[in-house]
Amino acid sequence: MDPLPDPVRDLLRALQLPSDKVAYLEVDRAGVVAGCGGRLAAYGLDDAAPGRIATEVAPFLSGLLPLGDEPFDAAPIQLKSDSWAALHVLPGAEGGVWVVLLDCTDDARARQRVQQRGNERALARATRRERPRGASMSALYAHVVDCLGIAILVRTRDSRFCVETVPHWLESLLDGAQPGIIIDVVERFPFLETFLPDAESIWGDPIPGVETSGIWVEQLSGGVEIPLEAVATRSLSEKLLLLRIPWAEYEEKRELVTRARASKLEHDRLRKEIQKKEILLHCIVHDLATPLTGIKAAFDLLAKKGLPPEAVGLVEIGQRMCADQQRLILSILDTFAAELSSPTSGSLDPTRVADAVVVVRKVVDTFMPTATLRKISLAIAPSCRGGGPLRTAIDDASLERMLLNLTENALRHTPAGGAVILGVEAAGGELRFTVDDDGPGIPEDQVERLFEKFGQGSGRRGAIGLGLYFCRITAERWGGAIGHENRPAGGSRFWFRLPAWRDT
Amino acid sequence: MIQKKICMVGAFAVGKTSLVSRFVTSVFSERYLSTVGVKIDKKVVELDGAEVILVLWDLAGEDEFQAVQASYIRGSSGYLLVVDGTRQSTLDTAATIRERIVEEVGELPFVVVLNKSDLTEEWELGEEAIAKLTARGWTTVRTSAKTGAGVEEAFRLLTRAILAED
Repeated sequence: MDPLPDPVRDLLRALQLPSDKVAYLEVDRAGVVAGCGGRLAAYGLDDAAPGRIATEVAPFLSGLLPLGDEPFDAAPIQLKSDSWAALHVLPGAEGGVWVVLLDCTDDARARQRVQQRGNERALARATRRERPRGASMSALYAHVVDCLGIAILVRTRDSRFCVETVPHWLESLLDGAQPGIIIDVVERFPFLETFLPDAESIWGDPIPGVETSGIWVEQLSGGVEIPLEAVATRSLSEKLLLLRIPWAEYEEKRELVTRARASKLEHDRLRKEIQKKEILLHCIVHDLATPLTGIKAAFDLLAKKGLPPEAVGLVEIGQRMCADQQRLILSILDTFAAELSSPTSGSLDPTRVADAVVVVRKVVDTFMPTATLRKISLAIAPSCRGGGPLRTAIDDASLERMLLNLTENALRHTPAGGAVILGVEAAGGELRFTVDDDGPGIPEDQVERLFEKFGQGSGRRGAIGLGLYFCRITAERWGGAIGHENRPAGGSRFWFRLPAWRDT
Repeated sequence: MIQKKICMVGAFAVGKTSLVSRFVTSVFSERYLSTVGVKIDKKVVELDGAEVILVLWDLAGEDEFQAVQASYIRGSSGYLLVVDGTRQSTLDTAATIRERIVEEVGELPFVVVLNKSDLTEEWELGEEAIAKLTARGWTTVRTSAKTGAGVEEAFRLLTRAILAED
């Protein structure tokens, strides 16, 4: 091959291409071939020779010439059945151009193969979309629809529906209807009256969507009930209403709901039974209190009669037993009353709202003689001394009863020389009450049952297990909670928290 | 013939389905089976010489598992608000459902049905509670789907109230 002209050689160098598959034409300003070279035959340019009209030798140059000042690259062109060339046109001398042809057959063929595969896939997709229109696919769809038991209804222009497919159940509901029958769905299925407005919005929406009706139950001629569900959707311009039997969902849901509700009913029944028995217990306890009042009055009168010394002690025992018995009965009745009442802060009389500080002081005053007698230090924690009122969303009587229970408990278990400290603090919209004692604490295995009815351990002296239970249900009923912790230094801490009162 | 849509609403297990069953087919079953979705029945009643087709929508009962869909009330002429007289709490549920219905479709004729009147030993609704309903202008009827007592009357009272609105 002749040495390449400089412009052609520079181009090859710039493109980092070999020179063995290049061909070139030099065309002057008049469009006449001034020179040529390279593998012209490979591109079908066998006739190229100086003096020939360029567009006659290379018809693909028509429209490209004359070229301006800028070089020009054209897309690959197929010049012969088995060869492709990339076309580069470069400015030449005196208004002429260099036309350089570079072989790109391999690249072009690779692109062609990719394109071919893409086209084949697109064609396959298009073919699949076309299939339903074919007779065989219609039969297939009909079979599938039949197997699924779906009824397809197409909305007509007069807002009725043409039944396209009639599964056996629909045939029974529509008295032997055949495909093509026009029906008023609301007349036949009144349930759809509330669904069709929602369906209309789906049918009118340019973006295809689906709306489901929820389940309703129809009755077949033999009295058999079947659940149905409607689905509104759109296919091209067709407004479709699909009816199906959601057996599995229906049965599962009905079974679950029935079982859950039956359990709830049974639970309520048992609760009522327990309540009845508690009312009976309450009546018995209440009746026990009546003669006790008389017995106590008799002892009190006897005590004033100037009895011999040996009788005085016996009367005092009788008086003490009566007092214990009265306290026990009061405790049972309090618990019963708390269980039956279900107060809310909304129903609380603002004049009865407890001031925690006042109630704590009152409880300390109540137990001070007992504590003094037992040589126990009973005090209020420094944190709640001297502060302003701390109002909490509970009535003063209930709060006092809770603190009386816990303080009595603490004093009972604290040895002489020990201390019982009551405290209350406001924090985060709540008030936290504490009653600390110097008793033996509560064994871990007993803590769990501590606040249950009759749940106090056997080692708890003088308790029947209602005081802490009363405190728990009272705290919970007023939106609070109660708990116990053994203090690191020894003894117990009982605490409960209640919502702070908010003036509305 | 005039056709009227009537809905049965209330808490779960108050006896809505049993009331419809007693009214339409005179049948009662002790077995409790939850209603899922809606069950629709029809019955023609004669009232003052006129025949009315009642389309009865028995809606699933209300509880934490299923809520009454107030949208089903659309197009109703009235509804029976069913309460289980042996369960005080079902009265509160009925009141809540009624509020939702009023929000959804406004005021409609309704009758409060105090069902299970045959269970006298377990009856919880006091006269005071019933008097409060009456004081609000609500019509109440004691019924027993089991014995049939008051069932016909409840539907007739509602139908009459509906026709009076027309």
